[in-house]
Amino acid sequence: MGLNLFATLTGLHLAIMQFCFFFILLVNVTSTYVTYASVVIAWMVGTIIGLLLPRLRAGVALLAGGLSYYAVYFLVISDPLAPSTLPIATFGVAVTGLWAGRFFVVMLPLFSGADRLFFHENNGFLLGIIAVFVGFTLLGMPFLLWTPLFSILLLMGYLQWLYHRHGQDALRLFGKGQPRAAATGDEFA
Amino acid sequence: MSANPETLSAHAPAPRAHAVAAGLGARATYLILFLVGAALSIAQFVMIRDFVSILYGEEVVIVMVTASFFLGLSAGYLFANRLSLKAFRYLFIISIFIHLTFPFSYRWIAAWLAWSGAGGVAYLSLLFIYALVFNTMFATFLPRLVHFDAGERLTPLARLQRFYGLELAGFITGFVIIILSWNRPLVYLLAPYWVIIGLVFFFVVRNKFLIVSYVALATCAVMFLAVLDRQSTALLYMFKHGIDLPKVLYSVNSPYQRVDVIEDTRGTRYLYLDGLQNLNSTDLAALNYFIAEVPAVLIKPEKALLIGNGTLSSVRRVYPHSGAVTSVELDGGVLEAGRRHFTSPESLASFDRWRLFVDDGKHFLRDHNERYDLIIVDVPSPLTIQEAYLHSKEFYALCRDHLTERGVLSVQLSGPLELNDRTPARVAAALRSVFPEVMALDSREADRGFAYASRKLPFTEAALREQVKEDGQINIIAPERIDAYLTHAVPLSVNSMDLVLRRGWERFVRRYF
Repeated sequence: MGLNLFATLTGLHLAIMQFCFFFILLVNVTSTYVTYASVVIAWMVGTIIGLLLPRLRAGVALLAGGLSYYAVYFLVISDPLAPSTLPIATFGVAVTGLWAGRFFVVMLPLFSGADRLFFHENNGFLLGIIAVFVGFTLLGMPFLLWTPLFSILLLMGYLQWLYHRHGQDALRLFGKGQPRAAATGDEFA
Repeated sequence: MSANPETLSAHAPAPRAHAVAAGLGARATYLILFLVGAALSIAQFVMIRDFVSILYGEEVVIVMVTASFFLGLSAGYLFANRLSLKAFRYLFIISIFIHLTFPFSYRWIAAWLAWSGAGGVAYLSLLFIYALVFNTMFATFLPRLVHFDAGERLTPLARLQRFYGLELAGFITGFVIIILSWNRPLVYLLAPYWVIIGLVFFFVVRNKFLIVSYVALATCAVMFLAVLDRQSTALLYMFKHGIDLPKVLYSVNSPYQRVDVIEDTRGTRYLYLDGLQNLNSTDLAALNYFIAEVPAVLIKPEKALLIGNGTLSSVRRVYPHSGAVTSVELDGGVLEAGRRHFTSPESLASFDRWRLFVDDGKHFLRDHNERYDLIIVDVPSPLTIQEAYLHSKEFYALCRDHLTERGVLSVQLSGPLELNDRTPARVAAALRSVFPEVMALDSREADRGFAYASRKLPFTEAALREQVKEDGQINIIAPERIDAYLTHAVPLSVNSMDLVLRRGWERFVRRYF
């Protein structure tokens, strides 16, 4: 249950970050296809890099993603037409996408199969798509300002809870512990 | 953590038969994952565009269809490792052959559902079943290949890193193929798609008869795709939209939406964007008259700006009364539809004081410092977030900053202005929150209202009435009376786009339930 929920929350977080990036650029810069294509491709590239990174802690990845998001948020509000805005935003999206790749590397040994891991993460992503649409249409810019922060804090808080409750396994998510000799995927069930 | 996957040998399950086919080498496995990524990317685009168009493209529908796609992925992940190799192969073969019926099979079924008067449950079932067909089998590849050792001598973790990376690289490649297909006939997208899934089929099935059958059917599908695409599109417009013997004049996927131009037996032409009627040639004259010609005649602008109006049909109405005219349209697909079927390029060839920019309206305004005597915003109703922004007070403030002291902003209200909180009132309230003076006009002929907003309107109610006196079914709401209509309406703004959700949901429920 614990790990499944963490995977779902991560999917939710990733959808929130990706679509919030898209909406801040759409509202403040331009809604041409270049914006959409930049966000999608940068996210994918960030994910691939995240998959290959030999070392990246969950907390660092989430924090880097959050800082990138808010840097882009305030940049597009203060200077939406600067020529560097879209390249910087693209870089920020890629940095945020790192955890989308690294997450699977960190989590796979804790699951009995990639199917379950992808299943729970994808369910969270699906929920995130709906949440961002409903949230943005009802709340607008305050949603884009606060929801990523809330999402990061929720994930970090949940990680802390996992750590206090389960110790070594959760430590791995922070990149501090050694991998378990064998994993059944039900450690936190 | 120590992330060297080669050290995690304890995680590797015992060697088993290959997850997707016997006798596959590592390179073939890598290629399969790359191709599956490309296939998923194209499948996502095709499915979302086509089903949004079938169900009509409000944002609510777009989100629903996108969610269905991800639901299909979840189903794939759920069953990935539970399917035996035999079951996997059978399902994969069936799924691949169904792919060759895209896009006409689901359009035929949707047309049949419309003909038979089926309700929303039938359409949602169709959506979900096709979401399963589109991507569920493709979604099973990655978990299966990560889980079952196919002789690559890698741990599951190392396989995940390589395989998922390759799938994502394939996804990016598929995205590039999609970009190259924009504003072109469907064959530019589906032919590469069928080649990609054909290659996956070749590696997985390895059965000569099935492969030859696939190649033969795929060749036929490519040869007849143009005909089947138009025929199935026409069926949808006949049974679902109720157009009498429709003829499909133009149909492309632009970067933003599906663009269809349909002609009925009386010669009326319709422009549909994502399945929603944007305009028809009969109403177009009235729309252009009130949104463009009336203010242009009254103001005689030195500089006029047209935002939207992809058919370019307003240009001829504004140009004779203006010094310089600038058009800004985001979607090249709509412009092309307009050039071919609504406004011939020859009719604009002599307009040397007219310029066209392909850009997002708000980006254009932020990027240019020019001021205009007349700005005409001719964009679709606020049924998506992107469209709603162009009806928001933030966008109207941007327009105001580009108007001269007595410059006028002209917009259509998507219906008659009444005392309620519906779209026309919300849009008028957004205008009123930005401009001191707003005058509205309801035309039965145009089947909608229009609003003219300014810091100080350069024409009076009497002048407007004199200008439109030929049209007997007009109701003009003067600036001093406009607030009485807006007491229940919250201005449409970036922070208050609930209308997109509410109106989209209402329309969806009314249409199907």
